[in-house]
Amino acid sequence: MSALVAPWPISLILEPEVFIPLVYPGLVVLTLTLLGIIWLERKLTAKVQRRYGPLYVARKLGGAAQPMADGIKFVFSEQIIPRNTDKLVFIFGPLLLFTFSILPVIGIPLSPGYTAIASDISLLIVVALVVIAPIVLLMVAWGSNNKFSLIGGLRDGYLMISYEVPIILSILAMAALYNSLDLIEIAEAQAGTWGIFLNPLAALAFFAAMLIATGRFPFEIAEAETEIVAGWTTEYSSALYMSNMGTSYTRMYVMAHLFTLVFLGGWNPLPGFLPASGLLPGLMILVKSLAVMGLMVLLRSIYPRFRVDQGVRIGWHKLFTLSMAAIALSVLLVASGVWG
Amino acid sequence: MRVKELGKDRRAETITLFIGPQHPGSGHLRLVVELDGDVVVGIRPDIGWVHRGVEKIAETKKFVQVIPLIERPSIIDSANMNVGYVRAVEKLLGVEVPDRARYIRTILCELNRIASHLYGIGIFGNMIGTSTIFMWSFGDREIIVELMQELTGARLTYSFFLPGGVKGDLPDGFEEKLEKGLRYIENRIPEYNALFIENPVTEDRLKGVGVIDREKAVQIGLTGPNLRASGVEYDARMVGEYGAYKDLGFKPVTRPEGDSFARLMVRFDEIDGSIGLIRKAIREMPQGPIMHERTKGMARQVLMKVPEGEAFSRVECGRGELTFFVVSKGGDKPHRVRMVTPSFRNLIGFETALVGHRLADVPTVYGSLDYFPPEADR
Amino acid sequence: MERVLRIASDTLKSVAKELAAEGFDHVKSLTGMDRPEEGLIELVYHISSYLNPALRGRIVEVRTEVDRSRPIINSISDVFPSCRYMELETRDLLGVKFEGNEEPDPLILPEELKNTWPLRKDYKIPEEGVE
Repeated sequence: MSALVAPWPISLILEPEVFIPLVYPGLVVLTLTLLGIIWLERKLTAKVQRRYGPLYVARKLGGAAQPMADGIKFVFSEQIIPRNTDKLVFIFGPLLLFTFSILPVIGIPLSPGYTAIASDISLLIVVALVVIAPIVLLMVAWGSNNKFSLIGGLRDGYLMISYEVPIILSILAMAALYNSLDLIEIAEAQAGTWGIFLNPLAALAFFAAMLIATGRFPFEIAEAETEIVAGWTTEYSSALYMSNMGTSYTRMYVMAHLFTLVFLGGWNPLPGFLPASGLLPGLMILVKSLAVMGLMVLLRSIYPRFRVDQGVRIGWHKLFTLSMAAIALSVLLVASGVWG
Repeated sequence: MRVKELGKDRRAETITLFIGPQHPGSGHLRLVVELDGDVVVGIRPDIGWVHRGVEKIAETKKFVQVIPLIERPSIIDSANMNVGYVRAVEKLLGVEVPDRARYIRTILCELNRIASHLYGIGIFGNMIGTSTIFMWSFGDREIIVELMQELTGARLTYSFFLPGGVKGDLPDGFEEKLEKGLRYIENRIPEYNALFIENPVTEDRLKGVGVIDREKAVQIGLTGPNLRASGVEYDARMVGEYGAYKDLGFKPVTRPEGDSFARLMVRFDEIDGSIGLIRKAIREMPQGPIMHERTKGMARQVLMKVPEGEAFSRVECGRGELTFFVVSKGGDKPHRVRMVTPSFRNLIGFETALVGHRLADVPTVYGSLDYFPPEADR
Repeated sequence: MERVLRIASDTLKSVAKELAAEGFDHVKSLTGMDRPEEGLIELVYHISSYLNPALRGRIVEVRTEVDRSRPIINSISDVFPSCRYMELETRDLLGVKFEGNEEPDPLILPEELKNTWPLRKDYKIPEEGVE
């Protein structure tokens, strides 16, 4: 990359500090992925349910432009702000929530040396930024002045307690295995075997906790449609509602990237046609993250949703135990000299 | 207005929610739920949103005109409602239905029962969050609806039974199509089993939720699959006053647990039972006329004057036992038509089954009781 | 109908208790019939049993009458809880007051039609014409 002479706007964009938050895994690729993953969810679900799915908007592409059409419709419909809500929280809360949801991408490296934050605790930074967001959700739910929103927000608060600990513990298990908290070193250490094969318990605990964190079925508890209308997004319409929906998918996007880097080897193993540095190894990360996201949206068509007390119980009984067992497994692997 | 009063939280620790008619999980029903945290401490159903005054309108129509009227409250189950009314009028007229007509009535009623149970299972799946089961069951129900269209000419409300018999005979080639359709449904049931019944989330959500034990179910007068899921062996088809059930040898299915899972499984078992009954009825169908001589022809039906008297009839709809009480004063219009639908009798189940459970159990119990608001409100 | 009991309206509660003692346990239907020419409203209860095998399938018809200008009768919903909603519906549609089973709001009618008793024979159905 540095051997090519390029005009200064392009070379500015290709700098990692600009490229990562702006293009990939930042805003541009996020928008494209949102459009794609919403379409994929509806199409996969439709195939399981023996129907067609979206087919009207761009027939030749299989209805792939449907999410864009929905987005345009949302922008042009009327933005209703109810009278008795806390206006500041009502309007800026979702935007703040979206910001916090996309913020963790700054720690994601695309290849050794190509990273926005060069730090040897980048894993910890990413995880810490991921777990900030739900507090803003509680603010938004309270500010809506609606009983259904309140119940939805409180449910998300309860679940917050039950998924954070398994996430952090399974990450710690992998950090213990690789003896590092730097995402670049963790990805490089998986050149031979991926983390999911080394410590499948941690991968399972992280995947299940990821489902709870992003509100995917079977844990779609904070927005249970037949019980509390739309949960914390009940009072929203038009552009703010679109932002709320986007937030949920953004969290899934970010956590899928984290899963890829820690458990699926990141950019390893590199195929021959990609250089070993610069931003092109990011293509491998993108492909793997899309596969993880595809699996998460497929679960929508299979499972009903849990109750909130069952979700919390799963988080504490099953996932906590599983992640403690993952730590034990890591310690065993390291101490017995099988790995590292 | 009391609505405003209900909305105010009477105690500081509880929230009152209107799971009202404008709610994705409520249908045409308002449930006023009082919550202490997540636990339901009080619930009061508020019905009547679809009350159309069927009983009042029936007093202004001729006897045969009342048939489409009383079919409409439960359009997915309309053949069974049709049979109930027509039996009462036949008792007033004093006519015996010919054998072939009884068997045809049984076939249409059982097909309708399968369609009604599939509808109930689909709505139930949607309420607990799996839209897959909703789409599957409505798609499979389409096969049954097309079969009934083949037989009667209409998809949902047939008006196929008239006092004295049935309107038409089985069309040519109907037996083969029927067998094909039934075999299709039979092959689909294991897929429902694999995806829905043996799903660990379904079992967590349904087992032990909304338990109504045997004595309580009898006391509050539950009916239909809800009653049989609490261990009471009663089915209006057993009493055998209509159709060919006595000749076909009918036995009801029961389950002892009384929770939502048992109510779901009784519906699946009844689908199996109905398929068996239909096959047997086709095999053993007698030949003969399909309409009694005294009521043959549309002219006789329209100008019919029913002698003075009162008659009571009961049939088993998909959702439970339906009773008709028809009073005639000798004219061509009924003096009083009283119908008590199964959903109206199951309404008490909400209050009994939900107190002490959590908010997320409200759609579960709603779907498992298979409450159909238009049928309850008439 | 095999067994019909015609009783006076003030003996309803005791008859209900006797039937419950015999083994009948639920009410299948409660019909109210308006007879304006005799000045009466007739109430017909159909009672049956689920649990008693000898009585299962048998229906007892209990008929009673109340005065049309003062239609008050005892409620039997403490003996047979299954008829609670049927009594409320009869109150909405015919105006019969069941003592012991009272609620302030109509059950199946909207609040604007409270105390209009549509099922009575002298209820004038509002008509809309094309002018």
